[in-house]
Amino acid sequence: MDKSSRASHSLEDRSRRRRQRFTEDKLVKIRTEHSAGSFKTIFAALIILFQLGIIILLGTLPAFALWWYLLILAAISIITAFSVLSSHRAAQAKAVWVLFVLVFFFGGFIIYFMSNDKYMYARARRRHRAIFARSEKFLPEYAALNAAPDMKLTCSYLSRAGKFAAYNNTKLQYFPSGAQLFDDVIEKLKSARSFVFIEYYAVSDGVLLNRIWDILKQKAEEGVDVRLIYDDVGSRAFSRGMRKKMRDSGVQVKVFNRLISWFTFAMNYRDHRKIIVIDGCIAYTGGSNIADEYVNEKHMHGYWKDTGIRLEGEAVDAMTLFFLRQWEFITKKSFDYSPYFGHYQTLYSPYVVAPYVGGPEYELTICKSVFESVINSARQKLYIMTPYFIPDDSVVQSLINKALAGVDVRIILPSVPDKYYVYLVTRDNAEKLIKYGVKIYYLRDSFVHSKLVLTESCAVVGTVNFDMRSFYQQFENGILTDDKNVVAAVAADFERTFPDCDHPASAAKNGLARAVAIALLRFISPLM
Amino acid sequence: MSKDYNNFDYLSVSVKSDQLSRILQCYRVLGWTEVKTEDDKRYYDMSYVRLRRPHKIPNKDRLQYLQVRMESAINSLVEIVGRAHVKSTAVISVLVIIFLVCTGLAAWQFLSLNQAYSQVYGWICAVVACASALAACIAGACLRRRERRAAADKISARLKLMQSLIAEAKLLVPQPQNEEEERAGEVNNG
Repeated sequence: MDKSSRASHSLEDRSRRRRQRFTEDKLVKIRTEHSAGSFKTIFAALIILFQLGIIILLGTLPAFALWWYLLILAAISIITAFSVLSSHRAAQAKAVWVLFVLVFFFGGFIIYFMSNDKYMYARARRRHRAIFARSEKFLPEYAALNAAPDMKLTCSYLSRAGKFAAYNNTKLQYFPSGAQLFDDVIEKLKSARSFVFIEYYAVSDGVLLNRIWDILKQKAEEGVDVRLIYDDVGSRAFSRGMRKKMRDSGVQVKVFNRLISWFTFAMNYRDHRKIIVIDGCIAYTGGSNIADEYVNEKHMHGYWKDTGIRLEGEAVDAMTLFFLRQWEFITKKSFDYSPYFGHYQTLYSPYVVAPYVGGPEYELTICKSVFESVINSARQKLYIMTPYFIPDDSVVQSLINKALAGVDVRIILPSVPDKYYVYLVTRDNAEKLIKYGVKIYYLRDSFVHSKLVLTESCAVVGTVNFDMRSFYQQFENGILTDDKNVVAAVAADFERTFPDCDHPASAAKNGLARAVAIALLRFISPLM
Repeated sequence: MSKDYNNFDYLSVSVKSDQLSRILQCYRVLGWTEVKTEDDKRYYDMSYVRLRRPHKIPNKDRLQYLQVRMESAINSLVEIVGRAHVKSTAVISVLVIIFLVCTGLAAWQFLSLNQAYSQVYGWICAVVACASALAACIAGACLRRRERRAAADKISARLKLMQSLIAEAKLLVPQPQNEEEERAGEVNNG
């Protein structure tokens, strides 16, 4: 054996020695089971906690020297507690805040006022209102022709609460998976001629984004107006390199509510919307984000069950308007919306389609109210698919009432958690409904990310989870429709999913540690 | 090797080398074709496999679901074997510790001999030591047998599940009739 071959052999031996024995309890290890970009969030959270500590410390320090200062703090806390009780918050949230303010009387009230959107989001809300007022003319009059009485009531609520129109003459296509949704998006993007608007909570580097980017790049080069809004917390894995590449190619990329290391509760308001508008002719929404796990390219939490919907026709204008309003809010530049409206294809459809949005810009909890209204309208069946189930008492009570009244109430939840602490409360909340006749289903080896509500006569598809964040803190959007085809397609999706689910007959018994953890988590769930 | 993400889906897995052929068989049933197999760079007992599948394969959603369930079932086999005797091992460990402590105490009491009650304590400790040794043997044997049976039941349930998943996947994916046809398919895809 010559010198060189001996050297290469010893190198191989060394590299072999460096390799370890695989010690995980697995025969197969999928190479994409990892999450990226959490460092930025953890770092920002730590810095924010540090600042919070300093605020509390500064507030408390004088108390060591001046006893009357403590008395003043206690008096302020009691007044704050009364203020909480008289506010228009959910009862659970009120209870948590009152306890928090009274127990941490030396600084709790500061945190309460800083987290209160009435004070802290007031300026932003004024800007939203100014934008709404300017752009209202692009929404047609509330119509909802041919709607059933219950549907008419919900549409009427939407019209009065947020001036959302109910459209006829809109064709819908339901997609039972993220993969099908984005395959369709990619096909339709190829035919974009004038503008493409994309607003997504999570945009992440990966195969899906590359597929979309291949087309967007080409379109931007052809002169198509391509705009992208992403949320800074959701899009942790959207690399600076990719954003730069997009901007260099002429795509206008804007971040919503940048994650900064500065203590402000406005950080809590995230843009959870998912909107794509192509040329004002086609629009998409649904649960899926632009990231590989949503189309099962990556399996981070088992199989990822998601959904989406495509709109063609009159209602596309509403989606365009939602995007443009958010764009104007972020860029702080007003512009003429009129070139982006009226491009839809004239179709005939007797069914009603009501696109709506909700979030901190509205005083009313629109998304929650739509869910409640749909739940109350159910006569025979009420099927729900949601990743998280931490609603407030009024929603839970509505579900219980429906189940007790004989409506077939079924809820499909994930069997694999994405956030363990949220999942603990979700399971506990859901299983407590079993004794009232609500049927709970866990999709095996899967994370359910779809946000669906279905009754015998209507369906809601969108981004709204059954949790407090979606109801009170996040910018969300949804589609309410009585389109028979969509209702049938969503029902078929549910029916296909039930056989793959575990269906517990009674609530699982929790050990002591688990019960204590759930009790604590449940206590803070209104703040989650 | 350049990847054609518009026409194909790709999957990279590390598989226990001794189970490679069996596991690849499962992936083939799900419509995946092997592109490259090599030694894993990190683990010496694993093989790194790259697979691909046409992006527009029919019934893709269902196949993805079956794949996740199949992977979970395959991995759970190791988990079941690895954790089969956790309870019995814990019980035996506790009893062995009791045996050792009592033996030590008994020896200490017998050897001290300066107190009359030492003999009594010594005998008590010796009896407890013997009892714990006996209990360790009996409990170990009984528990282990029960655990073996439970593990065997679980494994057979998982294998049945895998068989049913494979059977369903076979119905969803048009399988090549023979190797030549499979190769011809690969050439066409390539």
